[in-house]
Amino acid sequence: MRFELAIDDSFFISSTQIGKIELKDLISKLKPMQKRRLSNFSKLAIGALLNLDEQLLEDEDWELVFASRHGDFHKTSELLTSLALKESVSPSGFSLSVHNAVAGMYSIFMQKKVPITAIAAGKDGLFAALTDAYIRLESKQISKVVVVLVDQSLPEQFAQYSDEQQKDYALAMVVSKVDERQGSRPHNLRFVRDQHVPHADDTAEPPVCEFAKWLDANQAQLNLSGSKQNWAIKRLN
Amino acid sequence: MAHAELNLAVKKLIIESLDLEDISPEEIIDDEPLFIDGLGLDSIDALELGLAIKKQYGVKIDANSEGTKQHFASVSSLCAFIVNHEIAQDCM
Repeated sequence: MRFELAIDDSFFISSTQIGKIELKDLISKLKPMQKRRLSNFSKLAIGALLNLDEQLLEDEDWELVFASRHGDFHKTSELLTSLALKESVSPSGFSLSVHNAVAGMYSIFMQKKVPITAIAAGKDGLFAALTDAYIRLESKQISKVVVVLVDQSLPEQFAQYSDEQQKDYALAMVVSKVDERQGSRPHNLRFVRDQHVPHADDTAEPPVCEFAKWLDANQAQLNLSGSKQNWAIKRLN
Repeated sequence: MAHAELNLAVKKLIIESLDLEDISPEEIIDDEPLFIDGLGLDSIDALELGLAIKKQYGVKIDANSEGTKQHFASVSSLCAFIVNHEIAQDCM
């Protein structure tokens, strides 16, 4: 399988920058009542989305793809702890515990009713999200897809299940079809999947982080592995 | 518990359970509506606050009763509700 995508804009934040960049500064556009129920997970996701170039989406038909391996797992594990202790579950925690909650909140904050996909595809989330974005662009009359990928280090009690580097990160992107006539865009990329089964590597960096760093670097090609998929990503320009 | 003390405790409970970090207890007016107008809380806040009050004061709140709406109208009515409950408990 292969496809091409243009990345018009991207915003990446990860553990190494958190501290230097305050999460609350990323969401300073929001009203106080909108901010208060946001967990760190939601702040990462919505913060990255709010820092995309708004003008790219103005007057455009766009859709949203949200992908996260574990979702807001810190919140989920608090709810699970309450249940295990036979305590009442927090209603506001519960209301935001579904996988697409953050994507829904973003749509409410932006006052934009857009079709949303919420993906949980393990280590293959980046590939699943970009494949979904490509299919949306090719099969519908839309010009842009906003993609957001977000995850956090596992909560302490689940750390023993870790099978990749533990990091907090979010990557938001505006993607569109590659169109040579439109002059130079920040990134025109070709994605090619090979049929090999990836090697399991419990210490590898999450593919999203590798991809985000590569976007800003100068290498021509990036080979990325999830748990089921191997992809080669090449620059076209 | 003295009236003013309970009043402050309830306001602190509202702030803490509903993540209203930017609001101080003094900013919550005793007789102003907590929901929609006034403080601007919503239905999920009502559930969360009901749970917090149940945990803190052992007051069981009936989600469907008309009375509950009145009890949750303001800080003053919530305090009165808690006090009445405590008196009822003492009499049992």
